[in-house]
Amino acid sequence: MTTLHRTPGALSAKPAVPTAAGRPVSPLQLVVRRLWRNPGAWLGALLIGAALVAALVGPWLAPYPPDALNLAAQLQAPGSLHLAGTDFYGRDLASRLLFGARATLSTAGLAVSLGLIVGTVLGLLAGYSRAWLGQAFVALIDLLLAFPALLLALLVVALLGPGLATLGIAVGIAGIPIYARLVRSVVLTVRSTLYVEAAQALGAGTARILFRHLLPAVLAPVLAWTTLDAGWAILNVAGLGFLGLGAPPPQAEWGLMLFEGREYLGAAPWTSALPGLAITLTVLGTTLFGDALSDALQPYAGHK
Amino acid sequence: MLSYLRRRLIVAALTLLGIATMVFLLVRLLPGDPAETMLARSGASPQAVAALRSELGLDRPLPLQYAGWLSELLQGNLGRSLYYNRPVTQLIGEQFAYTLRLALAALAWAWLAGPALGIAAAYWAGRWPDRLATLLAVLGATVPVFWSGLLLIWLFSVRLGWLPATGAGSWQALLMPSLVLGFATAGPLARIARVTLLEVLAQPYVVAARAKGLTRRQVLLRHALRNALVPLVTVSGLQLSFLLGGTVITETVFNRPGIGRLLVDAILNRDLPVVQGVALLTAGFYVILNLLVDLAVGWLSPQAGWQ
Repeated sequence: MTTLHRTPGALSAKPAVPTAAGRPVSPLQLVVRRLWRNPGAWLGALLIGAALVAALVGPWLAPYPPDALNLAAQLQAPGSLHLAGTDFYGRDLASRLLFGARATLSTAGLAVSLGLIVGTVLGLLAGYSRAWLGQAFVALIDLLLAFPALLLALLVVALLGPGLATLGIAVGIAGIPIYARLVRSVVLTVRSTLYVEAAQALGAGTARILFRHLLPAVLAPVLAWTTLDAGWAILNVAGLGFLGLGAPPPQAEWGLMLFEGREYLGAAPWTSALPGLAITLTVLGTTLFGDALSDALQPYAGHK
Repeated sequence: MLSYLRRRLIVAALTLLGIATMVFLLVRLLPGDPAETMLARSGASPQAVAALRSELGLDRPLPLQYAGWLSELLQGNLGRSLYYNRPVTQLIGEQFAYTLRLALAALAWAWLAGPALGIAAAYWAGRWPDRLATLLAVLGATVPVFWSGLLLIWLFSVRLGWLPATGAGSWQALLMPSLVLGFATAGPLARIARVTLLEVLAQPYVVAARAKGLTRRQVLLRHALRNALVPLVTVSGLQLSFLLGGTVITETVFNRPGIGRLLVDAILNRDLPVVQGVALLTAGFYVILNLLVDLAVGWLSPQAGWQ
């Protein structure tokens, strides 16, 4: 009974793949081994790690409070006193970048969690249910996909009002249909396989089949997309922050900092260049790691 | 073929109706009374607000509002802007030319660079042109337009003084915004061209063509490229529909007028009819371009559709 219920999910440790040496390797080991050998994965992990460290312990590393005004030190170039220079109000940019990491990344994290959880559940239901409910979800997903993600996020911000929390929710909602479509497409191919039919024949309920048997199968592609989506969420959070729809002005947030620095492009280009660099490097990290992960998760990707 | 066309048209029409319904409901959920917002500036009396509410039809029950709105929509009437007190179609018409110009210029840059990079990457797979193309594609997907735009302004306007930083009056003003957007658009095209070409090059008929004595380059350009055209056209159609509604950040960076700025200003001013109009227009483009792409794909590859 229990053995029949065990699912051959992509990340479970069962089916073995023979290697050149003849020793069997679990799929998880294979994925880790492929990532280990990929320089892109290393660089991506390094960049993501640096951004996460900044977000987690940044406030303790920051040499100054992020909103401490110092009109005697306006628009100073990077130097020994202010490692990344200062902005128009004499605020220390390095400190603001560290605090801003927390604001930008936690908002993007909220967005990704929302899209991931709601999108996966919607996709599972839309893919598995053959009744009108499944059809209704499919129609809803298709309708949402007709709106460019940024436009959808803009409309939700219009609905909820500006602010970091609503921004996270807006970008998350804009991400839901993409997760849902991805999960649904995997479920459609898996739901008629023997092991799912066996579970149905044994009398397993819908919830059990969805979460014990179908969810493991969608984990691998969803995981790869989540990494890429994180970069996309950071871009959109910072972009909407740049439009003034995120954090209110004195707060340090990368997109808003970039917008504030725009005014002083001639006198102090670092005030907008550095927040932009922080955003770009973080998104580069998620893209490199996400690409490496998608490659590593391909079951038959070149046996290197 | 005709039945396929009819089916696709019906689906497109139903999708448009669904979009219209969603936009209507979404905008009715907006907090704040538009009539009050509109008259707040002039400090109008409650009677004047009530009069405006009934003039705008906001005092009628929701289903009646919906039916009235739909029938107006079918006649091409998107209502009047509460902020500018002008027809929404007229406002969109004025701004649309700027956005269309920017979107088409960006797509032209992307088509100039993207497929060529992808072809080079596939032809020299695993060697340095492949690495370079991959790097450029990744950068196109990661560098935010609000950063690359500012860097270009800093270099070409502030330092060198060659190009105007803002505005939309001349072709010089179009150069930087279209380059920035085009760079972001080219990445996916290069990736798709590379992946499809590599897939096609592994097919038996390509091996057969090679065995007949054709060179690798001849096979690539004559046989493989046509297959790569299908996904390229598909993605470009989507990209164009997104460019037509999603250039809001680029328009802000370069202080350009356009649909995106119109939408953001309308959101800030609680200008409901304009928000509705722009959202409808953008989603409508997506549906129509999707339809055109499907038809183009059917024409490009007989086995794909049109049965």
